Amino acid sequence: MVVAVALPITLTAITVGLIVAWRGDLPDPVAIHWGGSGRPDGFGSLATVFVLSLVLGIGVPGLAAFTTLPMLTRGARSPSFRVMGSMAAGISVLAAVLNTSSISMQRGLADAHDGPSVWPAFGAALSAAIAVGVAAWYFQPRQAAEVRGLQHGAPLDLGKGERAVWMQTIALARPFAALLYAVVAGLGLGAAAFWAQGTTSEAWTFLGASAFVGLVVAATTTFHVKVDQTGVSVVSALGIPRMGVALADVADAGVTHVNGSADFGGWGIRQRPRVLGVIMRNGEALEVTRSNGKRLVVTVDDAPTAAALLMALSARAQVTPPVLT
Amino acid sequence: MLIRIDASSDTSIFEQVAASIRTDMAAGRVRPEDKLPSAREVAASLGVNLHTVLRAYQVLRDEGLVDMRRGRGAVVTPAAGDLTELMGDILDLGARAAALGMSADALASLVRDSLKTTRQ
Repeated sequence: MVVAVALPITLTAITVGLIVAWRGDLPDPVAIHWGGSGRPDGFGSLATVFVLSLVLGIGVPGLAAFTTLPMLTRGARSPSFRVMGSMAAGISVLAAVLNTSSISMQRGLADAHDGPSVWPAFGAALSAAIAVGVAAWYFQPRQAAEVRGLQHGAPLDLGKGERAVWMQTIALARPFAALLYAVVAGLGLGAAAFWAQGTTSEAWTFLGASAFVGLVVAATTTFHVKVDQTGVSVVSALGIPRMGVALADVADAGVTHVNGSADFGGWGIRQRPRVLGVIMRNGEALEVTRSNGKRLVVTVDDAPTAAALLMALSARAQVTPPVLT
Repeated sequence: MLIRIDASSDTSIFEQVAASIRTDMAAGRVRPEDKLPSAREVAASLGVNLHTVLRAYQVLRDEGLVDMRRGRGAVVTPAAGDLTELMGDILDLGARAAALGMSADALASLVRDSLKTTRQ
């Protein structure tokens, strides 16, 4: 609460206050963007700076708070909340220090083009942000990950000569996938805009980014899940990435309920210590424990049947050697 | 979707595959507009011939439960939704027959005969 809400608001207030106090000394328009060399190449009015300060200083941490506080107040506990708090604090510090120092270094200038390089300011802001983020981590109370019980049903009653397969395709809900692809499209439009403007190097960067993000989104938002005598497999619609547990490696399988935000810090392919999650939504999921204790969690409908089949196949494989076809 | 086959059963494999899928449709686990998994994958997992699975898909197509579309594979039709609704009646019928002490085979043969007469 303190780090994610109070700190950003305080810092942003200080930033805005300082900039208002300095406004007599500053050139108009003021530099608000710097190129790779550090020299200013984008300018705007002070009003723009205020808006940016508010958006970055309060908006981003606000988003972090908004997505986690409701669950915290309801009693959910998870280390990912501590990460969010640290990030909120760090980002607000980054925004505050960067805004104040980049404006402060323009005091006394007649023309913003004459301004100094932004790298020292940026370096200072980044160091401060990291330091505060780490401090915020230690400042927050420990959050033990909630261990939700695994539900076990009866294994499937597979006859001796019976063979079975369980298959399901899982995907991120359409509205969220559409949002991700909108980002891809946005990058593509950015590329087109740069092309029209003639700055082809920027255009290529944006085009590359658009293609890369598009591929990553396509590869991580639709999966084919399968349980059969080879074990459990989760394969991306694009072919890779592929995840799974071989039948001989299955120590346990059951049904669990997951909350992407609380349990995995988000949705998609999520790696936590000892747990790999393929989380396409909140709710029912198949959880498989390997012989080394590591777990694979996949959100699927009808998880009890998948778990029942996997347990039955696993039990049978321990009695009879697997059928080679 | 769960597909089970028993090699030792009298029913042919492709009929068993079709029956498995039909059961999942009736239970609402496979819904209209869902895509059936690739026949190749099902065949590999079950250790049966690819054409056996294809034949099962064709049976479902002939029953109007599945549409074979170019490039999209086998897509479940709205008729599968009707099947889900029918399931309610089937469960009631099964319960009433069991209360009368009737065996599943006896009930099935009565249903089969009555369908022969209604179709004439």
